[in-house]
Amino acid sequence: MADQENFERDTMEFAPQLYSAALRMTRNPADAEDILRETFLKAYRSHHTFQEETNLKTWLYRILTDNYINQYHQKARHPDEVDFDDLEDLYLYRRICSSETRESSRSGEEKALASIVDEDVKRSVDELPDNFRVPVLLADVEGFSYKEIADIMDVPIGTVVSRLHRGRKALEKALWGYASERGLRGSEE
Amino acid sequence: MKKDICADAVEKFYPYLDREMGRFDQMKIRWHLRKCEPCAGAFLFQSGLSVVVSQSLSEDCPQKVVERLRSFMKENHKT
Repeated sequence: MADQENFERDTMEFAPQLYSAALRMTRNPADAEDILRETFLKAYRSHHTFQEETNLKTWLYRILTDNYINQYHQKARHPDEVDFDDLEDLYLYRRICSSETRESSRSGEEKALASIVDEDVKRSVDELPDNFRVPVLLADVEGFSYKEIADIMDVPIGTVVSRLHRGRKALEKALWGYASERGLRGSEE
Repeated sequence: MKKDICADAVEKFYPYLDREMGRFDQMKIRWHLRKCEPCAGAFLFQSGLSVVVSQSLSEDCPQKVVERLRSFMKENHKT
């Protein structure tokens, strides 16, 4: 049983970050706590399938993401098949550069970054369809590698690269929209 | 920006920031950023944006949540 006790102790250490990840995915504290509990129940029950060479954190995130996708994905109001291919690289940067408030020095870029408020980022990420939002969260907030995200989401690595790229471009476009709405960066040309 | 070289570099900014490219490609990007001021500015912005996104999305976990989880697991999963 010592093995099981060690496993449970090691697993519990990840509880705070798994809850934070669940909260970002569900956007609701009660749902996040439900997912956290389900993740732990599943992890404890599947302990025998856990292989020592597997990364425990990645394994737990896989269970968490799986729970989220299976239970909450259906409820999501966002369509999954969205075409972001027409968006250009550096969307936000190019808009800022071409806006009327463009400053010639580097400080213009720093100022633009400083003007992005947390609420804008949260709303912009929330607007992404799950297929794009989840890899963006796993990469940009949790710091997972492309390979780890592929393992967590059970998709090929090429799919991760493509969804991340398109998700980030869409995020930039949404951020620009909010910045423009609030009049911080002038109006879009 | 010199169109092709710069477009190629810009497309690789995120894999570069994510440290998801080989050494040779990393060197090529670094070398290009040293020589090309517009790309260097864009890269600074892009890396700053990644930090802003990551910080904006950070969420704390209240201690009570972990305590409730421990109690829940004691009740629902006997070792």
